[in-house]
Amino acid sequence: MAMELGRLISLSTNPSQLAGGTNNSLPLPPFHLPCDVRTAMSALSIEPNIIRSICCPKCLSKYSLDTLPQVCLRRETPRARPCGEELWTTRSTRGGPRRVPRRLYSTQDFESWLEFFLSQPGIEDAIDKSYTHKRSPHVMHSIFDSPAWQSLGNFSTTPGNLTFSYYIDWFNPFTNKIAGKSVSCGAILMSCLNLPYELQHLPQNTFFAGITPPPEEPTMTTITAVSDPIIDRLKPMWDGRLIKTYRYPRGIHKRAAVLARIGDLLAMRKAMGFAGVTSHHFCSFCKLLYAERADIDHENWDERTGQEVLEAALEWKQASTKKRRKEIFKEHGVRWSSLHALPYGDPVRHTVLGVMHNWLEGVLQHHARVLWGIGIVASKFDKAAIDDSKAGPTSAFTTPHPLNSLMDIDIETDILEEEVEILFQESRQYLDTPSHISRVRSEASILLVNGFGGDSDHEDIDFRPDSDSDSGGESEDSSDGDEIDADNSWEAGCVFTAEELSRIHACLSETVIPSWVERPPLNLGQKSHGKLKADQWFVLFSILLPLTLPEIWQPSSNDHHKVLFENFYNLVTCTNIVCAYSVTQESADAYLDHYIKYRQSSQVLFPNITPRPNHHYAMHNADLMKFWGPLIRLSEFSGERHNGGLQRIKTNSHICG
Amino acid sequence: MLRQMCRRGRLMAFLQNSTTSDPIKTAMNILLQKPSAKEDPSGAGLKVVPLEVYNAILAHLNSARITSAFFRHAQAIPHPDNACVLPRSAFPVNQVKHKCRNYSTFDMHHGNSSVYFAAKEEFRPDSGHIESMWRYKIDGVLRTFIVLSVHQPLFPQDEACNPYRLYPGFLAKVVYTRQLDNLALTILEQDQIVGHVAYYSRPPGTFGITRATSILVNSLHRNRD
Repeated sequence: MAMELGRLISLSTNPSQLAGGTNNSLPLPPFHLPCDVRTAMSALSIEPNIIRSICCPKCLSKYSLDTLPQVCLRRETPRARPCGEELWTTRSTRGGPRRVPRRLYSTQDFESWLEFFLSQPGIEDAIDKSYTHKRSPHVMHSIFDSPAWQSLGNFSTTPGNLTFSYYIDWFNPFTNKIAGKSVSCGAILMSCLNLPYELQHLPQNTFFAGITPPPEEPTMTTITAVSDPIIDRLKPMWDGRLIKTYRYPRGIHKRAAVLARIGDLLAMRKAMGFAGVTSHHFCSFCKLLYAERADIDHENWDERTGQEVLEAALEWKQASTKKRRKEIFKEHGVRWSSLHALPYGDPVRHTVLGVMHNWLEGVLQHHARVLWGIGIVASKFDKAAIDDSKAGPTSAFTTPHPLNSLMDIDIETDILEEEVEILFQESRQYLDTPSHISRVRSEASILLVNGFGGDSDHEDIDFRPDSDSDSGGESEDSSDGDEIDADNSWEAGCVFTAEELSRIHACLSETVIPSWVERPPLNLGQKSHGKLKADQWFVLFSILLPLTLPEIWQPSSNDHHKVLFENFYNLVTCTNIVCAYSVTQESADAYLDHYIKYRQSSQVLFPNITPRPNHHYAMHNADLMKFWGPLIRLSEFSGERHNGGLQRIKTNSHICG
Repeated sequence: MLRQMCRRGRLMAFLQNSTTSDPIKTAMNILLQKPSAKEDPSGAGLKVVPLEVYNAILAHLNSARITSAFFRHAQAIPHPDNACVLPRSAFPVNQVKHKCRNYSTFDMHHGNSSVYFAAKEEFRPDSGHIESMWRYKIDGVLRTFIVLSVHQPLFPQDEACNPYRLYPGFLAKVVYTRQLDNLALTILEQDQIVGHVAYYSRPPGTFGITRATSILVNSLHRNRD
């Protein structure tokens, strides 16, 4: 294709070549074929209105070039010390050394994008269908059928008004190469919920609001600096602006609002100002404490309200000292967020729990890796145990050496074992064994990045510590570590014998599936296959394992197998409900019923394994389904696809713009 | 990066909204090598529909009353004036796209041929394999008729051995494995297809059932409308 283009360009300068370059060629008039991409950009009018501003590399505070000081003068609170970060740097250019600002932040102007968006032929017709949609009385197929659509009063159903989702997530613009550069960017996207689902997430219908400045993601406290400019432009849209559209080239009054706030757990906690997943106030939906996360008596939980959260966040914002802010945070688990400035939003109800991270990559992955111990069997230490197990099933209650799982990792295991042994001895001496054990396991889980399901970006978020180191000493874990998950997951062996695993592998290989379904790795459990994607977890649990586990576990007279099977059945039933594209009150209730049974049986089967925050959050899925309708339509899949699109953009390693 | 992504969206909108005669759209089709699919007006590719299938399509058309006309068998000559006669020949189709998914005949792709469908008349959802597909032009509209071999449900004595009947949450069922010499054919149209069904063939003796069976899991479509 490039050669053809080159030939065309060559022809444009020498038309006589058209007839093979002979002298007998027909005389052609000279013509000009542009050969610079900027000509195309100019002719097509596809240039967006990107606003670039200067920001502090550390606290991300915004500055203008005219008044840019040498160092950052921003104070976190009126009585705090200034940030003090250097704002200028010297760059070598062709014209010699040049002083330039160290960091830039790019955002897109909302109004100009809205004019582009609404100038597309047919887009207003597609949006109009949302206003005339007749709510389904029983089955919710989309957000239009849900109470959430009514939660902004009659805003969402009023013709002309536009309702958006707000998505935020982090990604590595150089992809996830372990040996490559470790850089994190945050994409802030908005999609128009008025559009039919199949149109909502097309690149031309998505508002790419901004990309947070690399190389590090904003912290809990600095995130407001990057979201403030975006929210500031959204705020006046609640009252409306005159916007030119395809139908109304002279302009028509349009209003816009943000309804659903979507992201993975860490991103949402940062964006919405909630405490991290391992803090005391770890849940944004209820007031259950981290230490109580195993509690499944949901009827006695004290639900959070948006009003309470807003009041606490405002108090945090107005506090004049870091100490006072810390006290408020400790009491409520809430900080100020830019999104709180939107006068219509409800920080509790309008926060969506992402099915992709919470359920598929959270609960399902945990079940396979930690509860069932798939992946542990490949370890050298377990080899012998597997051979022995051919004579009889391995019990989940057996407690092999806690280090067995670590042997899967490409590290010098002998040294590690020795170090851990010393740590154990040391911890026994000081009577604080649990915290040492959990530290060892945290390391193991992080080191497993090349193993089963491990990854830096979408790994089980519960493994990842909160990174808020520069937030003025506001530790997320006010419990000083005594609340750190004392997970004994790595002590459990694999619940499957080698023979059972080979039958599962046979099922993975022989099951007939349509071509669009991505088959999970056939060597499931071996580290060589790397991380499973969210949809592979779905296929594994919803399609493939139900095809084979009844055959493996059902005929068994072993009571333990029966309980394992019931536990698995409840999990699959929940998966099918929470990932469905339609929801009823009954199906949401059935989800909760099965999920409680799953949690109860998990406690019986795996008493040493502490539930993760994800398990608690998933208790709220029933209420969320009743409020939002099908959660899968608000899941993070579309945002992740856009992240992938951003990663594939060739930027010649210039990632600021 | 942000600028490039925004440009990409605007370019896609531009290409989507430009007319087919637009030189830029033409250039894009050339670059992406997207040939425009058209039915051959000369009728080349038409094949005689097997009589058994032809009769089934005719019965489907007349029983479903999808059109106001009553279709006559091509061999029921002489035909009265203005009679609607279903031609004996149609375009054989190996693959159709429905709700963004490919559906193929069993010979082409076993997985893409395994479908779950909603029977219009009985309102009884069922499943089976696509054996063949035939495209007719009826009332000026191209319609694809899907010839489907419906899965054979278990006999009551075998159903009693089926462990899935006690676990409806799996969305699974057990049927007898497809046998070429005993296919129960039915005719569907594209809009009756609900989604694909994954299956796992099991040998005789599985769950104590003497015949070969297939376990079907019907959770792929997830009630998508």
